Amino acid sequence: MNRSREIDHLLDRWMDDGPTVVADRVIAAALTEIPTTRQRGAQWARLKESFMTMKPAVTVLGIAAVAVAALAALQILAGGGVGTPRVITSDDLPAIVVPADEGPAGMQHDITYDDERILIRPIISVTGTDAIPYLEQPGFVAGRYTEFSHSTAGLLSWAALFESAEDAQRSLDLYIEEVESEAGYALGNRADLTFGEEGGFWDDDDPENDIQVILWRSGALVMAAATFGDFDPDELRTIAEEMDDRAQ
Amino acid sequence: MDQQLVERAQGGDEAAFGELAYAIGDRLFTVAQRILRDIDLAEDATQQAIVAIWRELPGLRDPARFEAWAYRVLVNACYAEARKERRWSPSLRVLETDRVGGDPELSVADRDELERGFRRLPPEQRAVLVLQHYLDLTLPQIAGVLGVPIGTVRSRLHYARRAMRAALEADARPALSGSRPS
Repeated sequence: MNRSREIDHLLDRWMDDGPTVVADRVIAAALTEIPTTRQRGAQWARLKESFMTMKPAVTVLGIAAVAVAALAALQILAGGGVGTPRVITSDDLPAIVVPADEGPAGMQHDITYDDERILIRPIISVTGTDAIPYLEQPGFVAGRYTEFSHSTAGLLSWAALFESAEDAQRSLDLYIEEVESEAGYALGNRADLTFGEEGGFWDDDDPENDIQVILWRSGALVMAAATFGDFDPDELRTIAEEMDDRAQ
Repeated sequence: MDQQLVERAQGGDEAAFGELAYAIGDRLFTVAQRILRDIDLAEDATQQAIVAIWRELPGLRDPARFEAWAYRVLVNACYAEARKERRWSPSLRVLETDRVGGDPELSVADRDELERGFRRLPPEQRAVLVLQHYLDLTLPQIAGVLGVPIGTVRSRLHYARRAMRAALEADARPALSGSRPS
């Protein structure tokens, strides 16, 4: 048996040791708090439930109608004149984040998301209904997220499109707070970027952390490229710059 | 897990939630004890988790995923306990705990080395090891429970295993390592 399998075997056996039954008083103590503990988000849950159980065709039509209206509004606001910046739409997002078949050498594509889950994907500081402020951000239009990894590192590529630069800025501020806060990623070092309108490059001196995050805004688009594990920061910066180029 | 029970509890039925709490209590506690390596802390985390599960239950979209979601709440409660208790309780107490139903094929030296190596890990890495080796969850299942990308799970497992291997190798002595399978 090689050392790695031996450790797995030891861990399996060792984890099986120990108590398997909780004292009744623990459950009883918790249950005494229930009558005075208000359930959160019950109203929100009911609204979500009704949305989730809509017939798919109705949902798709509803989403399409909102998207068309948002696009029309954006084009009116942009003026559509010569020389105005290209208006990014949800159709552009798959080409802006790192595509599934174009990950870094040696990394496999793990997952792609293109629904509202992308908004809470980077969030680790809250769960359950506490995540609602992230899930229901004003002006959110669409998003895309791809993830790649090999045995010692991973890359996350993320973009969220909003109706306006103001909405995007509000969102960027939320995620910056997550990156810097103790409850979030607690990354202390911030460096400026040479691209984007707002943002930064965060990492940390803690060798246990091994996380690097580039988070920025370009117009109504908030983007992020992040790595964990052993990953060259210059390569990450290049990946982020290329994402930004594709969003221009 | 009885889905109707979950749905009734989501709707505010305290009696239904009581049944749920007793049904899942043992599993929550055993996972918490493996992560925290301390019975008192594990009991506190279990109690906190049960209250949090009640509070957050209406936000659970798919009642069929109750158990995995409950583990997520529990793991977060364990993180909170671990942060509150910056200094872990003495090894002696944990070794006493482990004597209960201990695997006779694991040597005292192995247990001691595993215990010391595990205690050096941050709670996030402990959690992935417990979910994989105690609950036998796959990487996608662990990612789902923890609400993190699969790559993050891989990364945490990589570092945790490396640290455990280093601990075992650093502590290995000829007289003790002879008892391990080769």
